[in-house]
Amino acid sequence: MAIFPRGNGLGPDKIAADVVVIGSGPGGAVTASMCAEAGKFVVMLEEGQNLPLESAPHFSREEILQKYRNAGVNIGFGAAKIAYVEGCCVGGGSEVNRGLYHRAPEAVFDRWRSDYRVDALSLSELTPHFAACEKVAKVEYLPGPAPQLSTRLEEGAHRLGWACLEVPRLYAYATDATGAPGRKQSMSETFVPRFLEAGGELMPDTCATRIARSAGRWTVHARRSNPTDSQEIELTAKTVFVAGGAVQTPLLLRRSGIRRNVGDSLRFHPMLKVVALFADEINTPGELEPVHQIKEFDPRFSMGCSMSKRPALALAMAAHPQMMEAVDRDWRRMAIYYVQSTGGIGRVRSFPGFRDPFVRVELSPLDLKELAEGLTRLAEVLFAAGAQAVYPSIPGYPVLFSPADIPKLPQTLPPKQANVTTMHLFSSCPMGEDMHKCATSSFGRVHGADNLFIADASLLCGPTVVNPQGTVMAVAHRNVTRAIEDRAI
Amino acid sequence: MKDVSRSASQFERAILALGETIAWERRSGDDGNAALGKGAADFLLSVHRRMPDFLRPPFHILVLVFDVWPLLRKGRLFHQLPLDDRLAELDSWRRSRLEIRRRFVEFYASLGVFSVYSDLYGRDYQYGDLPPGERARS
Ligand SMILES: Cc1cc2nc3c(=O)[nH]c(=O)nc-3n(C[C@H](O)[C@H](O)[C@H](O)COP(=O)(O)OP(=O)(O)OC[C@H]3O[C@@H](n4cnc5c(N)ncnc54)[C@H](O)[C@@H]3O)c2cc1C
Repeated sequence: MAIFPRGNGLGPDKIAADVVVIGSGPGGAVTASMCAEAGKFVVMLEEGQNLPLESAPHFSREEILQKYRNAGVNIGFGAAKIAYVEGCCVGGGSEVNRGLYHRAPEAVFDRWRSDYRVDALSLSELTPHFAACEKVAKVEYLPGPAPQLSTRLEEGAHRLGWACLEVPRLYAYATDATGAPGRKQSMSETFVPRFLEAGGELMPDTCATRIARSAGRWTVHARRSNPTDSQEIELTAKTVFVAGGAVQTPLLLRRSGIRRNVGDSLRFHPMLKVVALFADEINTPGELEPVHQIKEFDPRFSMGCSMSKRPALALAMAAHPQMMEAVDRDWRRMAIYYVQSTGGIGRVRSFPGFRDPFVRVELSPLDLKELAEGLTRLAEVLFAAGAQAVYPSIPGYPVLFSPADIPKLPQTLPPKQANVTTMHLFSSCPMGEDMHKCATSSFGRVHGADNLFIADASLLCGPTVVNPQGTVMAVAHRNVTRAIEDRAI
Repeated sequence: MKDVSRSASQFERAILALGETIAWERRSGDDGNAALGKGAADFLLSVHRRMPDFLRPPFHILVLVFDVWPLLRKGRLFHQLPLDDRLAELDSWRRSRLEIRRRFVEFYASLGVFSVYSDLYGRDYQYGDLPPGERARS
């Protein structure tokens, strides 16, 4: 793979391209591959490293150090703090996530259309874009029965008469040579290779620090890092797509002086976790990822099962240090479950002198109540599934030993105690024609800027309610298709 | 990851002592496996180096405060205390009325335990030693 574009005659620290895409996550990788396949000379910058999927096991200590931004330590400040995580490597979040896949439901798009005045954004209009992405990044159901920690949730839901479904994943299931069960369809396995085959140039370890416009072209200032030093470089292009994710994109734009409706409306899916203990063994090493989700309470909150290997169990049990010995003894009978809502809002700001963004979050009393109710419902379904104990991952919360203990849970989440996390972030630069709320047009073009686009989760006008990656990709595909048709690249 | 044992600053010594104590608390001391404590300390240091830049200085100061805290009552820094005293110190921070002290231990203990369990049970991530029928079922 060539690192520097061929023959632009400008030297190694100055690069001229037709299109620069900043960020190689699902939004950036889909956009870059489409532009390259349209015959354009495209450079895709990625701040993180270019690593194969198997450089570290999923959710291991090594993966956190290699592929997570800030080693997974990011905090949204507010009365209730929220810890959030983002991928930072070629492929972005798609490399570290579980690839649980949904097309966002029709009601979500209806709402975005009416609240943000987004043109041509119905589920039927997006369907061809979902389908096009699913052709490249395969979406499959488990080839056999789901692991027990997953089916337990289904059994509990069934007993309570709640809607529960098995969710497909961005995964091609087939045992490979290493014995691993198939290949995750992350960006480094799908759209990034397509981009390279179409002649695109990938620049890993390269962080865009500022963009500026002069003489009808965009200049992207960036820093390339290697183990010993770093180098400032400049790229110029007719068109730039910013796809750094819902926190980094507004950070870069604001640093570049583009601030209108940028970084003011971050949304997320706040999540609470519990560890459930069952009578029999449900958690065996080497099992496939759990895939069931309870959808009975959508769009208010949904529930699911997390990866539950021993290190993850220990982390989830940190709120009950006295129970750590129970993890040592009973881990095969334990699994982690979560409830996730759609409330809360945040802002992304940059401070002079600091590289990292300052994120402020706010969960309203209603949001906290909703999460508390979600936790109650989660305990209910786990007891219905046969759990003997439920340990909320919230410091100071009681351990529940039967449904009779559920009323001991506070009716609202105390903001200071709340151990809220999130991995789904969006809406920091919403698209649409409402100039009071939107940072870009209905198709991702930054309002008031020529040939500058946003192409990632920032564009989504609100929570997707379901796992977001499919929608990020479909919207990116829709918007870049329009940009190509409009000859904007 | 960097070796913290040689020519370490007070900050690094404090982190190393914290890592060792957390590892010991998880009974890994029974295995006589000091490497687990060092692994945990290396992990804590790596996380510290990567955390957001505006968080790094306050966390650095907190670690130093944690190290100095026992000086008044016990006449020694945390990293100079014998293991039993360190365990007691960790416990007193855990039960403190000051939220910041509780949160501090919670943060480092959860990361440290995650690291110890990653070393002890890294094999849980492997598929290799399972019979083929238990893998993909494809
Ligand atoms: C642990 C985890 C689990 C998840 N599980 C699921 C799941 O099961 N299903 C699902 O649908 N979704 C899941 N998600 C969410 C999903 O991964 C995201 O919605 C998706 O990755 C967002 O894509 P994006 O392109 O907007 O941004 P990202 O994936 O965040 O990619 C942005 C990329 O841009 C790079 N970048 C940022 N700034 C710059 C810069 N200035 N210069 C150069 N590069 C830059 C970043 O390093 C990053 O690699 C999960 C996320 C995480 C973190």
